[in-house]
Amino acid sequence: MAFKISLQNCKIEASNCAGGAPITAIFTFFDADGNEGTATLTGTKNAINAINDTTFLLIDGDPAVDTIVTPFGNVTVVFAFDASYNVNENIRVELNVVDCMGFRNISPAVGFTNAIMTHTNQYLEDGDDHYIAFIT
Amino acid sequence: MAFSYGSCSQEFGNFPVAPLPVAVIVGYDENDKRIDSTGSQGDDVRVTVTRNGTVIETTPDVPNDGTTEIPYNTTLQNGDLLCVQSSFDGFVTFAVACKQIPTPAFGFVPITAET
Repeated sequence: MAFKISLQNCKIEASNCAGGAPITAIFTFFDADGNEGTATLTGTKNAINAINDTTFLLIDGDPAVDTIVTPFGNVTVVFAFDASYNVNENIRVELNVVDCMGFRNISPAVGFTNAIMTHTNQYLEDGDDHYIAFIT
Repeated sequence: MAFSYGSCSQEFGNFPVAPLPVAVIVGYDENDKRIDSTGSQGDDVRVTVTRNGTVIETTPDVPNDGTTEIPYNTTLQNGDLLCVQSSFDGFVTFAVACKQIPTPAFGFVPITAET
């Protein structure tokens, strides 16, 4: 099993940087047992924000390095997972950003479920109850 | 009629020019609540924090030594605009440099079947 992450309707705001400037986006994953994993994305702001519902970031627990090809350039993805991390039981995802000037966000964007993700009939929302997606 | 020109024949030489301030914002430390203004030029520096278009904090002036870290009180949020101001004349005139705290956001791709 795997899940897919998109920035189609939720772009990273990094106003200190032009679209062609490099930024780093760090996704952190937490499973039901507290095991963690990360996906560190490096690329231009436009390239990372071009990740969408069809050119998505795939999370399947595989620690291999990946490349996402976008019209604005490639995004390099480096995965790292705890040995016991179970993608099938992921319950929380956080996104933090370091912009081209080295400025970091204060609070992460968060997506979580109130139960182990089974990818059926569950919705994901961020910390202030904003819907992210409904998974059927 | 004779015209007498007064003593207006000044020597056009090098007059002292007031230095221009330079403001630099390098970064912030939310744990220590300090903003790094290294590289700023001016006798004094200070910080403003702007949220949603409103200035919510202007820090007291602090003497600038070129590597000054300016303390602030606000609990920062994503999207806040941090500005360093630097001045030689008590902020009658001043230079400004600003940076905004980035805001991350993402979504999950709707799927219709388990993958």
